[in-house]
Amino acid sequence: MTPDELNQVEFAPDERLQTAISLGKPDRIPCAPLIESYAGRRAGLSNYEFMYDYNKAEWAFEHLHQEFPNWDVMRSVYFVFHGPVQKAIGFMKPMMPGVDLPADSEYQMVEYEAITRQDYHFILDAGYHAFLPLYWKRVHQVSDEEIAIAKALQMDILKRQIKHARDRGQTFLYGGFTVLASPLLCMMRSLEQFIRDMYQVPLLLERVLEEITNDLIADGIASARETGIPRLFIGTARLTCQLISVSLFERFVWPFMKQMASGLLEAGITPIFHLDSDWTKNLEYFLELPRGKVVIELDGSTDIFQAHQVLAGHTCIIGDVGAPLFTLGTPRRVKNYCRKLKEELGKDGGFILGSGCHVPLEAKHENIDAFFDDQSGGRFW
Amino acid sequence: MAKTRMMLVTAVETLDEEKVERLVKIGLERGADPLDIIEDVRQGMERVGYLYKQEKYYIADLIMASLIFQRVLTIIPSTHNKQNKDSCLKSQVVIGTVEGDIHDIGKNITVGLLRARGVGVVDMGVDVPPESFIKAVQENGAKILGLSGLLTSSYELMRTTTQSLKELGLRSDVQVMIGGLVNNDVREYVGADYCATDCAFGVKLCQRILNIDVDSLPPLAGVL
Repeated sequence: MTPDELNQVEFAPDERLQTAISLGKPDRIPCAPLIESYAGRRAGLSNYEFMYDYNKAEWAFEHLHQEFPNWDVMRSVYFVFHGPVQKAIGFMKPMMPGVDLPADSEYQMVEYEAITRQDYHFILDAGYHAFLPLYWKRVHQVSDEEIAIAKALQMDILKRQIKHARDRGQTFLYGGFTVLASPLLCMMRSLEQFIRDMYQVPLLLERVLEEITNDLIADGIASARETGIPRLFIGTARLTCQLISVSLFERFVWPFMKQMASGLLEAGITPIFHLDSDWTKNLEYFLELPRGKVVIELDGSTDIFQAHQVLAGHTCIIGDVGAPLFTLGTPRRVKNYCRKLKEELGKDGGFILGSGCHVPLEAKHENIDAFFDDQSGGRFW
Repeated sequence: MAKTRMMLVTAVETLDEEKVERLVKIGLERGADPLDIIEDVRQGMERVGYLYKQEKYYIADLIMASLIFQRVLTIIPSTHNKQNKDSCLKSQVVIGTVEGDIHDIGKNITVGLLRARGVGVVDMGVDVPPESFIKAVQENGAKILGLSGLLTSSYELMRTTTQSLKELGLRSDVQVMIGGLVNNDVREYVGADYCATDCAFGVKLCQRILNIDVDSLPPLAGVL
């Protein structure tokens, strides 16, 4: 084949995705917006219908894909936030549309001190897996049977999401979902109490984080193996150097991120760190992880262009058209920003075009049109 | 007594909550004036603010200091506590999370930090309708209105609130600050004066608007 002919070869979606993850340059930049509730609104569903009826949600995804067939990477955590799942085994107490909130609003989380330091000792004595059902019963007032049903439902929806995505010609990004141990405890304890713990019971906290991390790795590996997708979503909100000192980050966050990455990589699973909030001051840490084996997702708070400067040729980046731009911007500004991302981050490979965290429910339809409009005859290059 | 007071300032500065609690209790047992104790704690808070300004402390340190301050207020006898609150709570700031949104972490931290700096704050809580904000601003003669939100649907409510201020002829008397999932585009859309994406910056803005500069004090000798 001549170079020109090679340039015309169209990659399969998964090959395109994997090429970008391993820092190569696929036929075009993979397109992976994190679209959930917005798909429902665009299809005319209330957010209650979308969050509580998986069949309707899947219909909305299908509808959106028919409009935008160049959407090649299905990046979704619907299986985690599906109403009945979240109300039984969510890591935080949710307020759901149509149940606790008006039917067409976004779901939200209630932050409160759901666990105490005494629970840390229980986790150390009995293990995280023994603690989790007790936590769910406490937070969601559910029975063992309801927990079992929700866990089965979560995996069932994930598998169906994967199958439907493949049926319509997409690849599915995540083979499972987990949260890093430190933000997980921070959500359970509340931010203020977690900060107190870092200062007042550092040794205890470290031991609990170690204990939980091992189980989170095992859970992640099990999920990825069951779905057959060797990639895992890892939530990492809150605890960056925007909030905590370098020494706290290096003691209570980074070692467990590194441990999580190593454990997953040893099992052949790609860690996809979903980096909510501003990680600009923490980017260099990712250079300690193996080159071309890890993905970071940026939500618009981190300076993605600085991230590229630091991590180009080392770590694949997904991002980062932000919620304010989708909501208040114009199609021209969305297109210009996407073009800038493609030109500056995508030119050498190792980049996946995405939204910064979820596409908001309030996004203007014309801005979504602009996001998907690649302006280059179906090729992002 | 002077040594104990200095120790209290240092204990706050070094974020040692347990030591602060012990020293406050000792002070009260020895008959110290509760208002002096609060003043010492506040001095410690000022040192924390100074260290933050020097980039030796982070937002988490400010939050920890604010938690210590709140803890002290629970120990001080309620009559003095009330007196302290009345003396500092001139309610220069009205703050809350706008209607339809229940996110309150950033808002709560900001309230704690402002109060710890002696700034009077009316905390309206979450899911606050525009008319409640307006009423609180009017009743308190607040100079700053802080509108918080983490959902994109909050932009519309922030805008409605700001427009209501304008329609009632109050806009020029109040500086409107937005926080949460915001940026300059959102600020312009809402018609706010300022936007803050981190609490410490928001507090700094408030202090600037209110002409308070507590971060300029030098650190205690020998502490750093």
